[in-house]
Amino acid sequence: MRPAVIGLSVFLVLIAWASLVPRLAPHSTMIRTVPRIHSYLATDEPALFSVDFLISDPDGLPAMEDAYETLWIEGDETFALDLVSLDARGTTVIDKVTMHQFVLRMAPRFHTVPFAVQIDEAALHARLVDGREMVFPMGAFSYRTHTSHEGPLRLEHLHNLYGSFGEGVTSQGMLLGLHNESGETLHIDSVSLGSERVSVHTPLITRNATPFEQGMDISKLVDERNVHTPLLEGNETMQFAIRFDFTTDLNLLYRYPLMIEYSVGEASYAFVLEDFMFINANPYAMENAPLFKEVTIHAPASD
Amino acid sequence: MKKLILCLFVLTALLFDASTLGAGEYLTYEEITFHGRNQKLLRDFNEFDYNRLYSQLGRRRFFGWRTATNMSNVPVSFKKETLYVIVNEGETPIRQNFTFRQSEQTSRQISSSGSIGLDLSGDIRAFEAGLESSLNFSFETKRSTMIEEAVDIHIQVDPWTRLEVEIYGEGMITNGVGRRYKFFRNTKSGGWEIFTLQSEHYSIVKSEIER
Repeated sequence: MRPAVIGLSVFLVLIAWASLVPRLAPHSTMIRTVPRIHSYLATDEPALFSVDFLISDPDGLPAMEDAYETLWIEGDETFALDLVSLDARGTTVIDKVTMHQFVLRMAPRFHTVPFAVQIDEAALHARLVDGREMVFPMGAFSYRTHTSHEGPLRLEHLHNLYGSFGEGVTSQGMLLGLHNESGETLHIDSVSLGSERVSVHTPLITRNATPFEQGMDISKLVDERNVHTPLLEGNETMQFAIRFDFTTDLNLLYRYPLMIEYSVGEASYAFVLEDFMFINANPYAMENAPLFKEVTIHAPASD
Repeated sequence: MKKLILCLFVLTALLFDASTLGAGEYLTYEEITFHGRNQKLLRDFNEFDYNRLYSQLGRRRFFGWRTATNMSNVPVSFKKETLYVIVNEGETPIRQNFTFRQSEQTSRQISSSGSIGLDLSGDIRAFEAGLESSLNFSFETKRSTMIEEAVDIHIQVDPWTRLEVEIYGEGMITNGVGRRYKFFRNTKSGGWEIFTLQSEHYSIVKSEIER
């Protein structure tokens, strides 16, 4: 009888130990972000920008707006930021762990006119109230100011062209409908997305007679190429299909500005669309898993 | 008389059975377009489609589901909605500032028909009665959301011009039918459908207004 009681007691102790061990084990917080191309263009007012991340512990300090003391972007120089908000954005599952999505929205303290910065491997730094410092890999970051100088060029339509990046999708071009309101020939001198890591493939492709298509895969353009000097005759409307050339391995691009510099006769003008979300995709979808980067947290330096 | 009432009751139940559809948000989109032939949404299944798929289910089971797949991860394009409209019926251009914010949405949405219901009790939508585990697909078990963004746009709208911001997108559809058995008795039957949202694309479109 006694061995049975001892055996049962040992069994119960083992069960209790097995159930307690996971709770006693040190709990490490996982934080992930997806670096991408950040391109911001400001005209009259500073451009706000955002960095999103996933965190396994939604009650931890990095998930609390009040916990952020100072924020800055580090490249060759340091660019100070003000936190505008920290917003929660649902959940997603990575490696069977439920991760909570947050977006840090920030305003630049460094905004002056004129201003231009390009950092190829930027990192967002955040000092928390407990003295720890978080480092978010951002990818390519550019911020520049530009004064719009409006002339006779009118935007007729703007449509994203998507392409694959790994197993996910990213913006890889656009359909751009333009109208020349003047009676003279209008020359398009440059089309820019603000970032030096993305350039517009030239010559542009025209798709004059092709009707507007929805949700277009850029690979469908291959057979429709038609090399064209980018100009619009007086009162002409033209649709351009634009491909992007990426000079970085990281070409995740969702939201960016558009700047078109053009001339009519001797006069030069600039059309500026400060910000447009061309594509809304979940950067944390599993097909983007190879792009996930760890957000590191460093303990405060001890004196 | 009792037989007549019983027949009417059964007929009503059958009619109700065929038309009930637990719907995901994607069914509210303005247009959903397949790229191939003979591809259709569950809501467009007719009696012939149901009978064809039910005939593939095989023998009754003692307990559990029998399912048949009509389409598996078939790509679709969609026009979700017109998000913003600015109309300038004046004689001078207007410079308009506007903000739009995407609402939270799940990247995986489900619908059902017949007596297959949806479990809406938690924050994760699922088919009830364990249908999902019998489908031979690997789906995410929790919802994941698209990044919610607020976008400020400053744009000029010319006289007698209408400007619209539209959302288009891409997704994948998987659908089929299923029957659930208990002690060889068929207790649930109908269609199921899973929509996986891949991406949304925003467009600006201007058009002239007739004077």
